[in-house]
Amino acid sequence: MARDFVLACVILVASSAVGLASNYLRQNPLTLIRKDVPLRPADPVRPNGRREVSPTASRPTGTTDQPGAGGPSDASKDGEATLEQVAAHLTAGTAFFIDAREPNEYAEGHFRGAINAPSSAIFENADAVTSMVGIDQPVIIYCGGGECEASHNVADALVRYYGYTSVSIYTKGWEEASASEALADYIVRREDQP
Amino acid sequence: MNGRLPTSWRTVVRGLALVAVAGVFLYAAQSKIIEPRQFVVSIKNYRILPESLLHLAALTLPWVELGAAIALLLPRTRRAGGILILGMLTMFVCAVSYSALYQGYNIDCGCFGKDSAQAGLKTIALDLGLIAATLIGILLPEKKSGIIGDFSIETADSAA
Repeated sequence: MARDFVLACVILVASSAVGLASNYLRQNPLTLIRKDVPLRPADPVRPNGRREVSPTASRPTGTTDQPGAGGPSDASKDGEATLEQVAAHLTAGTAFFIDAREPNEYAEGHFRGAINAPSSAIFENADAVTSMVGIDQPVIIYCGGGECEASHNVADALVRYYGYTSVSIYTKGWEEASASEALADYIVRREDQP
Repeated sequence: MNGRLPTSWRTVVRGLALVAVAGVFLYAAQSKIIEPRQFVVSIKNYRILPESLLHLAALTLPWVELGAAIALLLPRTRRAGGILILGMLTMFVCAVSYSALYQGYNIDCGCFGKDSAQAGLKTIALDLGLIAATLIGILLPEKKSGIIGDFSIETADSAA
């Protein structure tokens, strides 16, 4: 029995070593120690399409500024987009939206023009995203809302592995959006489709 | 014929259990080896491992699954492979119990890449079945060594 445990340890170590070695044969090897990569939010915009500090901030002019600096848009400092920011981007068409839910949920309803890139198959759908969205273009990712981790996973993958520089998460997601009158015009539902 | 079955039922059950468990682990390992980044997401969803260890786990675990599955199929390393597989299955049952059942996270189990089912009682039941099959595969007495197991035909003459 002791021999079996020793052999099990040998297989464990040898397999792990092969796994680590194979990593360096990949085109884009993973770092062995994963570091936290903070999101950089998509710049808030005004409905007229010009970027500003905050779509809800009462500043005299709406000029380009550091994202999330001051005012109610502070929520976007950590890469989170609010309902107002989402509405502003949808109105102005200044951000790409990625729906991180599963295809069946996406089919039930989604933001007009949103790309479906479910968290369960991020890297299979990555080509669809990278071919449509430049890495410096603002991206807002959403999922079901609440405890949903899918949008965080997709956002992390886009920033970490594909180098996207302007990614926000609409944390309250579909739960809030589907009930919001402000976003009703930007939502495509299954029953609306021919 | 002396009333015994021409092939020992133990041999068949044992062989089937070994092939089934090894097959599941080989299938589970391949998609994770091909795309470890997706497996990183699966492990992260459990919210058990610290962020810094996610890549390390995603790079090594699938290869350990592969190594253990191959070891399970080889007579000389069968018990060692079984020990590894039992260890991984026990670890997985604990992880699913903690994250999906205790914490209530709505997550994919991450068992088979993108084809994974939702983590919960069904995955725990599948794991317990695999644990039982592994125990059958390594604990049922061996008659004769073969590549996969003892599939030797027990004839009436040899049994006599």
